[in-house]
This record gives sequence, C-alpha cells and structure tokens, in this order.
Amino acid sequence: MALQARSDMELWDRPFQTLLLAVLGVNVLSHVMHVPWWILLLSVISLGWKIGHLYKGWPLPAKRWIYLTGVLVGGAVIWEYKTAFGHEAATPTLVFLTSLKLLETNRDRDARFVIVTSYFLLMAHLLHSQSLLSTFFMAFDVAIITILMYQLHRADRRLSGAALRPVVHVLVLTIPVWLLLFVVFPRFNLTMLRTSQPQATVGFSEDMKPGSVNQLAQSNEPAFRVKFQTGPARSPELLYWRGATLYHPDGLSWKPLDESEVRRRGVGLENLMLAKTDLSDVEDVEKKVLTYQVIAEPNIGRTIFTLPRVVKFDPIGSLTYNRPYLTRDNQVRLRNNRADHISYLASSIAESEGELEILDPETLRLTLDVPKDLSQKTRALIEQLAIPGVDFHSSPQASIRKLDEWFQRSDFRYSLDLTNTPSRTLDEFLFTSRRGFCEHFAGASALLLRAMGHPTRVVVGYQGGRWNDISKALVVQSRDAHAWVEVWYPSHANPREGRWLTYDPTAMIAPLRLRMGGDFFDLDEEQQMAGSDEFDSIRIRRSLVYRMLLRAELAWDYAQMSWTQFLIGYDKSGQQNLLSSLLGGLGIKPSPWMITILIGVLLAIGLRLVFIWNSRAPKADRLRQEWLLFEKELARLGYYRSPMDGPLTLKNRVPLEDVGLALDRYMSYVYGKPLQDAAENKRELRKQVRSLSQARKALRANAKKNPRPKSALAPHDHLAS
Amino acid sequence: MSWLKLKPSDRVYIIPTKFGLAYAAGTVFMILIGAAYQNNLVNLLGFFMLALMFTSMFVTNYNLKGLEISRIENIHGFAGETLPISLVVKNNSRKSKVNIEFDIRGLKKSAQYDARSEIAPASDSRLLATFTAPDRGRHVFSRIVLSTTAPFGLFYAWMVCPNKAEALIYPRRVGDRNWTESHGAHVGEHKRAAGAEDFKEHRSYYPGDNLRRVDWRAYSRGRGLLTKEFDEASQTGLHFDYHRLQGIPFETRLEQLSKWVDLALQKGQPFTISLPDRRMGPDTGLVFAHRVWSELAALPSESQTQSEKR
Repeated sequence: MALQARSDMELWDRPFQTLLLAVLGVNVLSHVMHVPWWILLLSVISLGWKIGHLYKGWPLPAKRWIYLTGVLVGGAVIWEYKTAFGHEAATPTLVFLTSLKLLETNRDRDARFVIVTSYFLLMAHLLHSQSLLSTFFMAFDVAIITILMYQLHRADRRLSGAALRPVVHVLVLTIPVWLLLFVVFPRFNLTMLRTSQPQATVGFSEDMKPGSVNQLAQSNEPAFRVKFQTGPARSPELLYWRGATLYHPDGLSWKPLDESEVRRRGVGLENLMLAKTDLSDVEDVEKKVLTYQVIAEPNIGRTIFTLPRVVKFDPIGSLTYNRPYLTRDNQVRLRNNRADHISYLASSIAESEGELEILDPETLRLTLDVPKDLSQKTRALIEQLAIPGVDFHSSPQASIRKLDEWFQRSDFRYSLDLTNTPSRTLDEFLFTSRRGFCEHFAGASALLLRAMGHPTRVVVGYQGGRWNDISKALVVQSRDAHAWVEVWYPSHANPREGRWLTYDPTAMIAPLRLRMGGDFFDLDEEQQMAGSDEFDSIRIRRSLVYRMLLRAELAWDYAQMSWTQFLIGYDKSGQQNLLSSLLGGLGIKPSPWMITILIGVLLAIGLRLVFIWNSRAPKADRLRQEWLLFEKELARLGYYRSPMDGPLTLKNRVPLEDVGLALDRYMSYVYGKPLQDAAENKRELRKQVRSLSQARKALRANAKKNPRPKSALAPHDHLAS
Repeated sequence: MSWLKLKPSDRVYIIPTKFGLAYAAGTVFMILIGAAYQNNLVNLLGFFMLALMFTSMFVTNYNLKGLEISRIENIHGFAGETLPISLVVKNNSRKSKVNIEFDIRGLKKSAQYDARSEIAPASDSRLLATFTAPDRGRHVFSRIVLSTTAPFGLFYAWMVCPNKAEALIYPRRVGDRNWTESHGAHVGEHKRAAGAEDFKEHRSYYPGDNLRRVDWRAYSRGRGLLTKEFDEASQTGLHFDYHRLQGIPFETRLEQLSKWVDLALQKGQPFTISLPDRRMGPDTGLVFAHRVWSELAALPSESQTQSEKR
C-alpha cells in the first residue's frame, strides 16, 4: 500500500549514524593497547569505510565478503591466542566484529546490537585498568551509549540541548540509584569463573640483561605507589623494592630459577601470618618493622614488590583470590599472572633484625655457582682479589671492601649511554670500557664475590621513589628500576645460619643515583659522578612553571592513587566495614542483602511519588481560574451560568454596570485578535486577571451591603422563563 | 493530595521487551564478571546498567500516565483488507509523552504511524495505525490499548482504555469482474467512460476509498487524508440482484455484490440493487455505495437467518 510507516531506514539519517559510529569508534579505540595491531588496523579500515560511505557515498561491500572476512579474522584470532575462550581472545574478536558489523548496519535491531557490544567493549577495557582516567572514560562512554539508546526511540533524531533534556532527566534519577547500588549491593566471590589468565607479553622482566634498565629509565610511568603506615621513617634511597631474585649467571645476564623450581621452594602464604613470624618477641617493633600499603599499576606478571625480609603480607581485594605465596628467598609471588591494579599490605623487618636464616646445601650450591667459561683475564682478576682462607663461613665484609677499592681504582663509571662504549660482555666491561649501569655493576660484583667464596645472588626491582607531598605517599616509577646484590653474612656462632644483606655496588660508583632516584637520569655525566655530599649544590634548577606543573602532577597522582585504592579496597570486607561504621551506632548488624532490598523498596516508593507528582493534571491558567471564581461569585448572587451560555448572555442578564464592563474587557481579550508580541500578551493577561478579580471583589462588597435572598433565582430558572 | 489518587483506569502494566531482556542478561553478566575478576569498575558499570533499568522502568510506566483516548472515529472497511484506524489521544499530565502506540485487541496490527512524535502537556495528538480487517459484520472492540517503549526500549508498558470502538466491516470485494444477466446483474444502457479523468475536487478520505486516489502530497503537508475526485462521464442503468445469484454460498453472494458496487462506483455508473429484504437505488456516488455496503455488512449471517426461521 502507498501509506508507509516511517521505516528504520528513514530514521537512520546521517547524524544518527554518526553518533552510532562515534560510540563504536570510542570503544574500539579504547582497546589500542590491548589488541594485536592487525586487528586494530582492520577495525580502523572498516570504520573508515563506513565514514567514507556516510560522507562520500562509497559503496559498502557485499554481505558475503563481510561474513567471509569475519570468519577469517575469527580464525586468525584463535590461531594467535590458541583459544577461543576467555576475555583475552574475546576482546579482539569483539573489537573487529563490531567494526565489521557497522558496514551492514541499517536497522534498529543492528543499533541495539552495537549498544550491547559497546557495553562489553567497555567492560573489557575496565578489566585492564581501574585508574581514574578509565573511570572518567566509563562515565563518558556510558553517557553516549545512553544517548544512543534514547535517540533510537525518537522520530526526530536531531541532537540538541532541548532534545536531550529527557535523557538528562533520566540520568539525574539514575545516578543516585547507581551510587547507592555500588555502596550497598552485596559483593561476592566468583573468581573460579575466570576462564584464562593474561599472557605475559609485557611487564616487569624477571631476568636481567644489560640494557633492560636503560629501557625502563626512559619512562616516567608510575609502577606502584606506597603508603607507609607504621614503623621507622626511612629515606627513599634506603628502600630496595625486591622484585625477583636471580641465581643463574650467563656473562652479564642473570636468570631466575624456573617457575617450577620457585614453586617447589615456595612456602605458602600462611607462613607469612603473624603466627609464624612472631613479632611480639621483637623488641621495639615500631622501630624495626615497617608496615606499608602498595597500590600497584597494571603490570602483567607474577611479581610482587616488597622491601627485604617480609614478615607479614595481607593481600587486598582481588589479589586475595590470586593466592600469593612466599618463596624461600623471601619473595612474594602470585600463582597466576595478573593484568589489573592490585593492592596489598606488607610488613618488613629491618635486615639486621629478626630470626636468622638457614643456608641449605642446595641454596649454597646455587649461590656459589660460577660459569666455567670465564676468560684468563677474569680468572687472573679473581686470583688478585681473593683473600686467602676466606670462604662462605667467613664474613664477606673484607672482600666487599677490596672489590669496592678495585672499582674505584680502576676508574669505573656509571653511564646509561652505551652507544659509544658498549659493554656487551663481562670482559669488555671489566677491562675495556669500564662503563655501565646498575646491571653491569650488580652482575659483575655478584660473579666476582661468588668466585671469592661468598654466596651471592642478584636482585632486580626498584630503588627509591619520589615522595609525593600531597598524597603523603611514595611514587615508584619505571625509571626507578634497579639491580643490586645480596650477599650471605654467616653468624659467628653457627656458620650454617646467617642473613642475606643488601650490597649495592652502584652506591659506591654513583651515589647520586641512589640519592636522587630516577631524577638522576636528568643529570649530565659529570654531575652523575659527583659525590653524595655535593647533592645540594647540583640540585637541578627548575623554573616556576615547572614547579607548578610538578605540583599539579602530584595532585593528579594523589587523586589517581586514592581512587584506585578505594576501588580495590571496597570489596566484601571493605563494604562490611563501611556499613558497620555507618549503621553500627544503631545497634544493627547490617547485611548487604537486607540493605539492598530495603533501599530498593524505598527507592521504588520514592521514584513512584516523583513520577506521580510529575504526571498530575496541568494547572488551569490564571485567567481561567479567575473566571471560575468570578462565576462562583455571580452564582452566589443568583446569576447562574449554564454550560451553553457565553459571557455575552451573562452580561445581558446581570444588570450591574461593573460586571458588564469587566465582561466586555474579558470578551475582547479572549475572543479578540491574539496579540503577536509574547511580552505584551503576558502583560495583557495579567491585566485581565486583575480586572476580573477586581470585579469579583466589587461584587462581593456589593452583596454584603445589600444581601439578596438566595431563592431569588434557582439554577437554570432563567431557562424556563 | 489529590495528585496521589489514581483512577482504576490508570492502571499500567509493564514487561521487559526482547531488547530489555538482552540488556538484563548483559547486566547480570557484567555483575558476574565484576565478581569473577573482583573489579569494582566493572561492578560500577554493571550497577549503572541495573540502575538505568530500574529508573527507565518508571519512566516507561509513567509515560502512559494521564493519557486518555478522547476520540475514536467509526471504523469502516472491507473484510480482509487493510483497515486504517485513527484516534485522538489527550495528554492530561505535565510531561510530554513520546513514542505512544495503540493497539486493538482482537485485530491484527500491520503498522503504526507517527508514534515516535511527541504529545505536549495538555494537548492532544492523532495516532494512526493499520490493521487487517476482520470478517464481515458489526464488531465492537472494547480492549483498546495504549502502549509505549520510551525512552530506551527496555520495557513495554500498556494500559487498557475504557473506550469502545465500533467497526462495520463490509463484505470482501471479490468475485467476477463482469456483470451479466445470468449472474444477477442487468445491464442497461452502458457507456464506457470516455476521455482522461479530470481532477474535480478534494473531499475527506472515507474508508474504502481507493488508496491510489488519496492525495499523499496533501497528507504530508498536514492537511489530513484527502481523496481526489475526478469528473467522470455519467453512466446509466444497472441492476444487481441478490436473488438471482443462485447456486453459490451466502457470503460469496454478498462478496460478489460488494465487488460490483465497487466496480460501478469506480466507473461512476448509477445502479439499483436488490438485497434479501429491500431494494435500493437507483443512485450513484460514494455515499450511496457506502449505504449499500453498510446494509451488506449489517445482514445477519446465514446461520443466524436459519436459526431465526426455525
């Protein structure tokens, strides 16, 4: 038939399609960091094609090509990830298929598909990051998706402030409900539903190669932030954040134990509870044990950064379900890779305090192992440095002093710039270039100390950090990455017992590296070699603008940390704590389920009242109200107006002059030509209302003066007469 | 507190749409993933979706509050054909209403027009929808439903209005295109319409008008449904007789008569017609044709007639 309903097609005008494209584009591009480059490229091509179609009229590909591409890319994703399940593989597939879907989208149903997948893309993004920026992104994304949902149900899909008022209205009602739900909705644990763990493709490298620190030194990205809770104040340069312990040397490179080896040597987290390491025996606990909370940025891997000699460890939020454990070498590790923000509370005792450790034969063998293929030159150096009669039963202090002296005597220098004087091999570093950075010094020292008879291991992690004065927290950045050595100090009483103590050869070569942390890399080479006592004189000059920017950066850093800390911490126990502190005073033991249902019911009643209020009948206008009052007053005098009578009939029947005049004015306003000017119209309306009201009052005054018997004229009597 | 009182007729029912169910499933999934990864931002997203469903349920529900059907036009049409029905909806509330549709229970709806436009507070708006016409006869539809899915299409809310709609459905316009004496039609002087048809005037659309003659351009300018009338050469003498149509079932006879009336109307030929109980005409024109069709529609069905005879 000729009469056509306005079809989807007609409503799919360009502004609407652009909005749809924008929603999808935003969500696809938010995955730049998380999908393979070729997926991203294909998605951008497909989005670009759609833009070309919209604005330049490019023809769209045939459906069979779209489906074929979809199947091929789906296969490629399975090939790349070796699985079709889990959010790791699902995200790229979803990113691409949704972009592809856009090429054949032109029905309302397709738009709904885009809406639902946009939510899932957003979710996949949030699984990677719980930062403040991601939160802002979520708020923005949710707003545009909601606008899209709203536009889908309108005939006029042009966007404007007025058109969006209803959706703003809904959002204003939704936001309190949303926040309340977030606070009270019961949290539960479904971590067993996780299908896969993230693949360790990037992140903190647990082995040490010359140059790996060099790469990290380029980046200002925060690695983690630390809030100190109790314990002695320590200056940042004394804080060594242990990440991984390395045992196997290979030239200048060092490698950790195999994961299976580490696990075999693991002792389980329960050993970290106070029961095992009884701190009550330690004198002056506050002076010796440092307790701190770490909020770590997403970093794929199993590494947990702590200070040496962890005695207590409390995972917070999601980390609890990753079942961290403690290794023999006092390293906390995760059982599964993580790719999200984490937080934990740890306590470390001062290195020289607490129980003595036992050096088991296996560890002894591992930590004295020296490669067989050392060069003649190196062997000669070892013979020169070795102190006769010294072995793992004796203190390494003398050997360390001798090593330090040799480094100083031989003019070793700290340098990150190795383009001119590369030290790729041990010999080159020790005898030719004598330039390197912390890995070179740590690796070489560990090897020499082993050869001199002392059990030694290399530790990689971070050193120092930047103090944020606003958040009162330490910010450890990528550029604070560091490598150092731990040496076995046997006890005098029993050489099988002893302690692993930190020895940092870099401290001797470039003391400022430790003092200044990552800022050290901003110095030139001469300044880098300056002694620690010159620290104040060579402090880098900063402009006012720079200092202000720095201040803003610190404030932003504070906001980031607080928000992430809140998000991670607000789990089941965090919720219980909050509800208890809010409702504890009332003597109620709050159950989240109960509160959720209660609040749900209250909200439902509240919203119902809001909406009933909104849908009450519209007010009659002022003039109409006044007219009704006027009529009532006339009726009191006995002049009833039947529904068929107009004001003219009334005027003819009422013999009062004032009433006649008021009615004339009323008629000329109501039935006269409407006034064009809105302001004038409003003024005139007000005048009319006043005129009627005056006439009514006059009538009332008149009636009081000469009361008229009520029975004079009954309603509708005049009809009979 | 008079605004708190609700009339029983204001009762609004609500269920989720298919999209709403998908959205709810997505919400549940989001909250499960939030619990699986212990990720509070995913929780936050899931709770937003939940909160949006919660509030939009109210918005959808109250999008119908204060609406009433202020007028329904009498419904005429031919059995089995498309039946356009229009009604006027008044908004007695302080909020604009959007995306209002109507449905008549017992009729199959084929399309809804202009539903996505807005009805301002204290004003009214005409809604138009088409249905498939039911069988011949007089029908009363007492379940007229106003419904909406605004603002997000997550919920479908409806209310049953107290109004009634009366429909008079004419017999189907099917049968033999030719009229011959043997089939109950006398052909008198018969002159074919000569020359091209000339536009004469507009008149308002009447159900059953040939839709090809509706002036769609005028409709799109907001002038309502108008039918174009053409000058047609006047025709003479035709007689359709119910009694002569023998050997075919009762309803088929009526359908044949309905068809012939339609053909005569299109050709502009005057005619007389014999019905089982009366004779009408001679006359011509749309009004007469509708009178005839109304008589045909109102005839009791064969089974009724027989039971009366007994």
